[in-house]
Amino acid sequence: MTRMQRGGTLLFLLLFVSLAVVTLVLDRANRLQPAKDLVAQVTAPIQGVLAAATRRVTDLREFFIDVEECRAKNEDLQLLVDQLIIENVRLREAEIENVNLRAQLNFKQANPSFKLLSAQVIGRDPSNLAGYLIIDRGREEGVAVGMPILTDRGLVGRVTETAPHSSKILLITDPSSSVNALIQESRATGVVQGSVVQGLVMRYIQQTEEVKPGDLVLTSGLGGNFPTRLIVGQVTSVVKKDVELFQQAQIRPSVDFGRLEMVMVLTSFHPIDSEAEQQAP
Amino acid sequence: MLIKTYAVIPLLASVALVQSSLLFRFSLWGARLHLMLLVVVSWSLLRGAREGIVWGFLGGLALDFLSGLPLGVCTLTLTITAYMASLGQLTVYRTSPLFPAGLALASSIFHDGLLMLLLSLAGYALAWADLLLRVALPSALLGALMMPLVYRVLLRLHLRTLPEDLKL
Repeated sequence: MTRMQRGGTLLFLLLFVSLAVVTLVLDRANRLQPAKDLVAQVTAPIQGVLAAATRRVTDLREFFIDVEECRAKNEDLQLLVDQLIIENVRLREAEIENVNLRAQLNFKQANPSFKLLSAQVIGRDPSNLAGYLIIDRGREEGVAVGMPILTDRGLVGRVTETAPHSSKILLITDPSSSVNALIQESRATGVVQGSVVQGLVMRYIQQTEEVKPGDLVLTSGLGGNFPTRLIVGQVTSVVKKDVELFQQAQIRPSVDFGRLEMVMVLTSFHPIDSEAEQQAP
Repeated sequence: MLIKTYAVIPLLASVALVQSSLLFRFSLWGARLHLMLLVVVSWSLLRGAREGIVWGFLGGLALDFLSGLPLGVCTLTLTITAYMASLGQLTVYRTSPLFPAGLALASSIFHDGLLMLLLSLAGYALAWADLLLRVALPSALLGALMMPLVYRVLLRLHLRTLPEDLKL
């Protein structure tokens, strides 16, 4: 490569890097929302189809293993077995959906004050470093930024971005997430933060408070970002050092984030915008 | 014939959708496959800096639209990574069959490191050591393992779209 060619390539790189930086700046200034909405409108249905297809692929993998065993036993019944297993896959999908919906219904009945909207998980953050997911409900369905996301087992996260028919959710396990919480038994308060390794860590618990493994952790509602008494997880261990101001606890999330398929958006809850309230006369 | 941009956009958009909606279900000890990175690195190695940069930019933009991170972060990271990967063309080891896998490993670590640096600058609280050891490194190893397969597919595309006068 000649010096001139190399200079040209570097200029080319500089041009694209500048474009990327401009994109970043425009996004920070919130000027790219229409473009993001447009892209989300196009991609959300495709993601929905792909997500459904993956679930079928997972089940079909088991299905093929079953068929292999059946073939060895009885070749004549191959066709019948195929049909039955395909039917079985379909029914299992329906059963799983049924179980999910029944759990959601039970949760709704147990919490009549909550206005909940069911949503399907259609994607995850493509970068490995961030804990976001994408659901198939957006502004048009009444989803707004800040709304909490739950399952019948507990808190999942909150909405950070909405498009007309899809939304992005920041999981509570993301390191940038923090939730004001309390220990159910001792009423000790603290902040639950996401952690790459341990899942969740509850920090800033007063040294005088008694915290022990097995204690349930709930949202405290402080700060107005989440409603009170939502289950966050369970204490698995406590780190208490005399030289430190606070103790901290490892929390096992009540939700299995690796298997999330259906979630609920708490549409009746609107977080308090403390910055706007402070600016108001 | 160069691959025209209008043909690249749907290709890279599909890769981004597959990565976001399908690949997240397949995790191996915390490692997830960064398919877009492997595609961009392969193309940079096959076609050089200029096409690599364009693929990195478009691929990164596609990921940005599906990501919860600030728009432009993945674009910037992947564009620079594509350029760095294209430098692999200049080494004498490029003919080695193991070279693409090694390059994928290095590019993946570079990409994740740069992404973390940008996120830190944007005010994100990151546990660097944990992320590097538990996420970036396993993902880089998985990427290196899968690279020969991705590279083979891209090599076919490269040979099919090569200008007639450059074909042997």
